[in-house]
Amino acid sequence: MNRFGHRYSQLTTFLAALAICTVSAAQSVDMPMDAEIARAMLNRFGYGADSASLGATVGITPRHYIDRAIRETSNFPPAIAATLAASPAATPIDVLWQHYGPGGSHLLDRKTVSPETFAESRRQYNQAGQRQLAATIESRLLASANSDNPGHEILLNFWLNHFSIFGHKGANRFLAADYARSLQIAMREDSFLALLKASFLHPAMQIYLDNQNSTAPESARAKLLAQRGRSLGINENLARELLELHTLGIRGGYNQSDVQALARIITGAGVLDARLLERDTLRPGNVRTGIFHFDLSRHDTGEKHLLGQTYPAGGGFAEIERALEQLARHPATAAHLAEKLARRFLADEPPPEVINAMASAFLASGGRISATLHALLENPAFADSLNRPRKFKEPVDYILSAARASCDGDPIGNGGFLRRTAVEAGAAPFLRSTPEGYGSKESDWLSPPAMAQRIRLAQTLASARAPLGLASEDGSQHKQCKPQLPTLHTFIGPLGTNTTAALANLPPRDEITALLASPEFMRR
Amino acid sequence: MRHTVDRKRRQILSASVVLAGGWFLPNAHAIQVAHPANGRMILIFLRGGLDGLQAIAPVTDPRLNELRPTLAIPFASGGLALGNTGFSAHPSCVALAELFATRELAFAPCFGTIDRSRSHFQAQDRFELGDGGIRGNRGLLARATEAAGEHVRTVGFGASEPLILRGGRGELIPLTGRGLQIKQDPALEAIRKMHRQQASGAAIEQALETQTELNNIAGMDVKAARGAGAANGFPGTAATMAQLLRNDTRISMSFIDIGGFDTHANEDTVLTRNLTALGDGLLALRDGLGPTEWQRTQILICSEFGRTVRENGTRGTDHGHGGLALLAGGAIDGGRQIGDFPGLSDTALNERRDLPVIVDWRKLLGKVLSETQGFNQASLERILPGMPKLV
Repeated sequence: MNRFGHRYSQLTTFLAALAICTVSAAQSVDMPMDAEIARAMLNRFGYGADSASLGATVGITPRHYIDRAIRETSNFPPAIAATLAASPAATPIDVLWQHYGPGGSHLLDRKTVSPETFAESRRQYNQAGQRQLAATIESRLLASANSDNPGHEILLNFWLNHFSIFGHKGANRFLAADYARSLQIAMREDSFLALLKASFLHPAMQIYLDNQNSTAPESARAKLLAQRGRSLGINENLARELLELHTLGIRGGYNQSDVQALARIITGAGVLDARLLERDTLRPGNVRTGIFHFDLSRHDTGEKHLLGQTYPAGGGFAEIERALEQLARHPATAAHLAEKLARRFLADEPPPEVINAMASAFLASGGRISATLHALLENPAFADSLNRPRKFKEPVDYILSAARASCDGDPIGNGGFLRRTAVEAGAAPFLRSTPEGYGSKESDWLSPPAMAQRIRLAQTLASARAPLGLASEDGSQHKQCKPQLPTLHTFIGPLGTNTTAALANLPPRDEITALLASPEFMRR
Repeated sequence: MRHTVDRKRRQILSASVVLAGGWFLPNAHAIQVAHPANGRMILIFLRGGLDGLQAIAPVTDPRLNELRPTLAIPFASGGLALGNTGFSAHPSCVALAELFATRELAFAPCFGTIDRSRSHFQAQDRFELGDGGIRGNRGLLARATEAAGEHVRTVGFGASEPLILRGGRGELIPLTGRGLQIKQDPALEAIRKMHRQQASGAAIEQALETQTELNNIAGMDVKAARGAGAANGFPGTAATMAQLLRNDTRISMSFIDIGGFDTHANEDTVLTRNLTALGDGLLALRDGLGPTEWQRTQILICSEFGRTVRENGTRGTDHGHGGLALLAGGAIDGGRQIGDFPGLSDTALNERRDLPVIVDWRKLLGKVLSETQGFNQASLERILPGMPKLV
């Protein structure tokens, strides 16, 4: 081969290599994942790479991983499945509501029982509520900790936080578990509109943001009440947060008159009250789905103008559905959700081109979550971020990944421990009192008290003083999970030079502590 | 490691003795205080948008009862008149009325930011940034801390860092939960090495410093709460705060937030509880600080916005604009109203629904900061850019 030929051959090799690189970058969403990528994906869209989940993820493509996360539910070890099924959180909502919904128990009616009976039934009601909410939080954390489809759980947790409710508001202690189930069903439809409807049409949201009594002042119901000397009118809380937090976002281009128009449109939406007569709930124009109830007699039937569209007079429940569709399809909603997803799953300050690509995919697909996330996965910035994980884990990410790393496939059965730890971190599901949900940025969570808590947790887990495992027969104690060094190293992956140097000569138990509290373990 | 910290603090302390020596009579108290104004600011931020008109109402305004048919009832039956201001405090605000009577409390009925979004989150960000904008990572207390100099400590009482403290030397002391309680073991030294030169490392070092301080006080509230704590725990938290402040007089600026003021429905019930707790907390601060400390303390209490003047359809109020600020303390010019009140007529209201903002938040903050920390106009302009001039 002459000199020229040799050069030529080098050039073709180089070009071929370049072509492969380009193709692999563009198609990485359809390339089977190796162990490195699978570990990174499980950290980003899950709660860490224990042996079993790593084994199940190597060889599948990121696209498949995300699609499965959206469409399929989780499987659990039999003992966990049994725990979840036996939890008060699994009680069907209609059963709970019969007891604890408005008008559910005459013992809670001040007018018909003695003050002593009322006080006692009120106490029992509150106790039952506390138990129910604790069980709901524990079930959510146990499902997230033990799932064989962690992407499903982390995305569901994302939507539960996007459409955040506060468990201690009104009857929401009894409703939070059903709210989670409703969002889960909607998420599997792979449609933002389905999620928005599931959230809005759930009594938990109606109660949380005070819409259940919002009533048009000119409506039949308001007039009837006025005759009895009571007044009811509009409450604009849910309307504002629907625009600001759930759909368009604060920069979405709406104004105060849009808030007021939307508040009028959603009047009448509320919660089923057992004291209502059956024929009232079935009156023409009323809509009943489960314990959600739209009462036309509270609805504002006048003409409204929302974001440039006219809602003619005489509308009923259909205009709520129309408004939700209008909001879900709005370009500002696409941009708002793209940014929020990218912030959670890419970086605190995601590059504008990634947000734009995701927003375009959201709009082009008619609001499909899968298409929006595929646009994220396809972006070179995402592949790059998997190689250099920089997102500071949110408290629940940290707690659940520490639990998974410690138990490595053994069932994590101590929901109480997970709940208490998440509550202490100020990050437990259903306990954010304000409607914007928990933040996902480092500045929201990295603080001296937070670092102290993480180190304490690492110390506790390493000394096997945290009984994370399954409960004994009588429920009195939990099995311990003992973290193993090789498992931890696989779970975390490559370590930085500082970390490696600091680990030198540590006794094994201290090495376990240090690994669980290492910078690498705190990022995903 | 703890020794290093203590040594650093001692050095700072001795430096401040030298500094303060020229300005104060050398009594034990002044020696420890390291800035010329010799004051202390406590900022209590009520998250959710306090309906100021339900704490202190213009009871002589002819439109009050018409605009707030159910909310105004408690004022008619048990309102506590505040001098001859034409305002009365809600029956639950006994403590506030007492402090007003002893000239240890003043109120600004139309206080707020320039934010018109009626969004909690944007209005809070604008308040806490204090530079007029809504984007940034450096809060106004971070800038104030820098301007005050190394010898002054600024403390946020809570487990997570509020925006107002971000981007500076502000410290965090959690008053709920289990405290910091990191165990000393070989792993801890390794963990500190691993995180060195990262934000996480600085946080660990600060946690270790604060741990000692917390170990020295009793009475931690064991109930955990993120960021803005629940109002009903405030009296207990305030007592602990007072203890910490008394223990170190160099904590010249401090911040705490309380949640639960977003009262869209059944407002009177919710605020009766929260305002009682707020008043009790103020008294706990006064009593815990003791007369000497109370004399040099100014407490500013405010919220991100006020609420609609009209009561809404569910016996609550929706998001508004101007709102109430309270100034309390032993040496303030109390027993008076700060800034005008234009009344409740439609033309006086902002967009015919909310109170206007007459006292810009930067102006009142600036006044308190200059009086307690001794900042001059140039410093204030760096801390609160765009602040209207102090008169």
